[in-house]
Amino acid sequence: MKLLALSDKSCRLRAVPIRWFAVILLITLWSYSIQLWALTLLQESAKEYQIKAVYLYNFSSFVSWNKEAFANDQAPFLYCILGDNPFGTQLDLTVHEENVEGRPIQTKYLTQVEQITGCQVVFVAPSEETKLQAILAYLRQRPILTVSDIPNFVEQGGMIKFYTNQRRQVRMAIDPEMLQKAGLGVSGNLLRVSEVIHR
Amino acid sequence: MNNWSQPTIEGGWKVGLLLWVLILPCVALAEEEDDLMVLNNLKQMSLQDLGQVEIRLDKTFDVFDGLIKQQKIKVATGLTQELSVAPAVATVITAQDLEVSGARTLEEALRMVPGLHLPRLASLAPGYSFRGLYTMVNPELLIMLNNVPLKNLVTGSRGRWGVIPQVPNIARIEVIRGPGSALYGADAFAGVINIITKTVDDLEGTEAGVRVGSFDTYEGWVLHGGLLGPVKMEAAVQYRTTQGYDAVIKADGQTLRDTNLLKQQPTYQPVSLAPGPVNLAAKEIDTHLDLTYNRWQLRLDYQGLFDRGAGTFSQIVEPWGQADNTRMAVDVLWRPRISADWDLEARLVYQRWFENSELWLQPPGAIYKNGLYPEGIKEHSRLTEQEQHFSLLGLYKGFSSHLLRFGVGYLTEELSNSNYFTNQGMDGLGKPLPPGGPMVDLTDTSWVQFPEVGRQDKYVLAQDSWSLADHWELTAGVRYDRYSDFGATTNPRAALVWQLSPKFTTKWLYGRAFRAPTLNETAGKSERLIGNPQLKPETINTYEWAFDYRPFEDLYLTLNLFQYQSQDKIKSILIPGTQSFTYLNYEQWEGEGFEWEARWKMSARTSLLLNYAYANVQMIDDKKGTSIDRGIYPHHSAYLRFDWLFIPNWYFDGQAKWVAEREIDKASDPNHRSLSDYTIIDFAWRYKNSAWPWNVAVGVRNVLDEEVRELAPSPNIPYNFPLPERNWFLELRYRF
Repeated sequence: MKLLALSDKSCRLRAVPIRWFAVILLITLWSYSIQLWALTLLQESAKEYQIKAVYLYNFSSFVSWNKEAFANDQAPFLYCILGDNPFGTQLDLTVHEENVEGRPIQTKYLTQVEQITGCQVVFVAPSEETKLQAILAYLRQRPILTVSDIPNFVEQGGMIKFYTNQRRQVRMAIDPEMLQKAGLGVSGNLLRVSEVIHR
Repeated sequence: MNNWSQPTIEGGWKVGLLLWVLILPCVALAEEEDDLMVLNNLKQMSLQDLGQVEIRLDKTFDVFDGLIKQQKIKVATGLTQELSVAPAVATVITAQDLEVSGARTLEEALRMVPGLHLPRLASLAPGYSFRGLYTMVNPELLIMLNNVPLKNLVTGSRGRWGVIPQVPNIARIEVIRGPGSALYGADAFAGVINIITKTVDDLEGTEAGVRVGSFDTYEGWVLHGGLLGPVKMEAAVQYRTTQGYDAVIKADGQTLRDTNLLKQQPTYQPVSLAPGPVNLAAKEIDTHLDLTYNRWQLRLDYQGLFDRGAGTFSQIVEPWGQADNTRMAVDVLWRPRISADWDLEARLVYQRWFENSELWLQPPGAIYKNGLYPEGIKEHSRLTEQEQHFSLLGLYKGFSSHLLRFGVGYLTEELSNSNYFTNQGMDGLGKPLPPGGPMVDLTDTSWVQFPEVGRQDKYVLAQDSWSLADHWELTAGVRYDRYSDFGATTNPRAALVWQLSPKFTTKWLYGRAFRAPTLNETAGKSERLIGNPQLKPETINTYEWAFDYRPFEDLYLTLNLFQYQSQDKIKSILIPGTQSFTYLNYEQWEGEGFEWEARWKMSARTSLLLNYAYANVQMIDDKKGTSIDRGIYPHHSAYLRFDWLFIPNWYFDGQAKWVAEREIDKASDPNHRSLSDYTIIDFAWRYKNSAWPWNVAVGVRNVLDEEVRELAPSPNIPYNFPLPERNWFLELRYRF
């Protein structure tokens, strides 16, 4: 019977590949044009801790430390991360081969607040949220800039807090009084772009 | 024509072109993505400009890092372990994979698993075939929902219609490609798929979603996770309705009968509806409630499949038949704390399945055994299945280099309320029914389709994960099951894992597993199928050698070689001199092959997953002394998935699945069927922005509108089953 006479007709004729070459060419052109457009847009975005690392790096220019904040003239400018490092390699990449007034910038990763000797900037990682009161009490009135993205960091006695706004931009809140008490100078440019908090 | 060799090339060019189209622009971009360059750009910016830079979405939807990230898995040993050192060959599919790929069904979700093929059952519900291990009703693997087997007691698989949890509430899917009976007992034979639903940890707040798509498919779901006082709660309601795709069957079992009748009677009017579409419409509901209080957890499930079209269940095109299948489950867990060294888990699960089907075996107007059936030959059956399972599992952590796991359990399985009505065959007294007569109730007679029987299983299991030396770990385990019907079975496993370096691990694995004969196979007594109480379980011994390698931070490679022997395959055999079939332990299968996978984060915005699997399965007939290729599984299969954040917040996902070299043994297939290779290409675009509660996706499936066919279990469907043509969907989710 006709219906059961199995032959190549059981498979529908294959579409002509040429048609698909055309389709694929179009998709390629489309994807390239999207890419070009995307490139211009993407310059406006970065990973969260890339942005935070660059902010930290900038603080070395917008905050000033007394000579007493350093052990000696050769002492490096030291960024310290306290707790579980959220930066990955981003902070190291940011400060690689950079210096502040002739001092090479270095990074140090701490597990205990007691290890802060020589640090100019301490970033308190989110992992330390429960120990925050004790950490801030330990750091109080030392010439060390304290930074964190823990909510209420400034309200609890920290100096600079990072927060993310509705548009997913990283912004800062700062308590200039705390910097002043610690003997750190703060530039007006930094205050201008930050939310200033007076406790 | 040699139908499988030529399209190999055809499939190849499609995959090749897809690779070229997708990857070329991105490789060009990869360098742009260099972290150093991004940082240098940021460093050039003023503080004011820095405040304008947006955080990239990776944090909220990091599919690219997610792909190469070290995954944790629990299904391998019952302990949470890193995938690279877990003593199993496994794949983890996360909610993120499901979201980005736009997976709408479990079938679509599992496509990325290397070497897992998705054939079709007679109802056109999907089957799951690991490494070529697959037979008609597909009882060869264990699918679990939160560790509770989803198993039909008649078929040993997901049943004839396939009640399967819906995707929106899935948090992750853990898949073992290989045996798992030493932990999970029966049917963890060729593989284990454990579907884990969302908890409050995965979902805080509410998500609502709708999806519309081709074939009049509408879906809606509401998921909620939160606290009810001290109780953690997660609840889900998911609903789906579809008309089903246009599966046109060119010729069916009735065509064959019509042909024969026409030969005898030239005036005969053929009644087959083929060529014509089969009915695949369905309504599905899936609800889930998960309550956790302290050391107690209660899970309630209700899944229902209603008005499911019969597909080609009766080997004919028939738009009238329908089936309902529901599952209700209560799962109570208690994790008492007796000491720091012991983790205990006591569990009680009750499951109840109900199936109701009304099927046309021959269309109206059919002539059978010289009798006319103006309304066709029909059957109507109902069946309730119940399962109770109590288990106590313990983990002892008191030794420094040993982790010991113990378990005992008791399981009862029972078939009841078996009803059967038909208008053809014998009446309750063994007298032939008159042709064209009304439906007759054969419930409680010896002609009923499914037996009302039950059985029990008692088991004990033990497992030791032993840290032999630095970077060497031996996992050894055994489980002993005693079934009340077919007796005892012991299934050991052993795995040696050697972590040569943090980047490179190798594993040697051995496992024995069994598939329990189903209640129908041991105690069935329908007119056509008579159970065999002497059946032994099917067993399989599997040996694997696996490698897990991370040459760079962004590249993850795995390779595993496998070899297995499966004995005492259960096959249906015609009883000589009768028209009835029974089951025998008959054949031996031997398989070997390998699976290879690469996961590569090409840049911060692109990633690629590529896998390839090869299998070769021989059927060895001890009695005849022959060995022939099993044939109908794909000898080669490959999968490619490409993810791309092409503009901020816009994701693209492209997938291609290539299936090649399936052969049907021409000598044993009366219609000399063949199956062509195919490539299915799927695209999905998604907009997701953490600052905006909406999440929108558009997907196109089978973009090239490829003609895809899967094997029809019955040779009476000579052109096999078509799979869906090009189709699309639109999805909208809202979080609040």
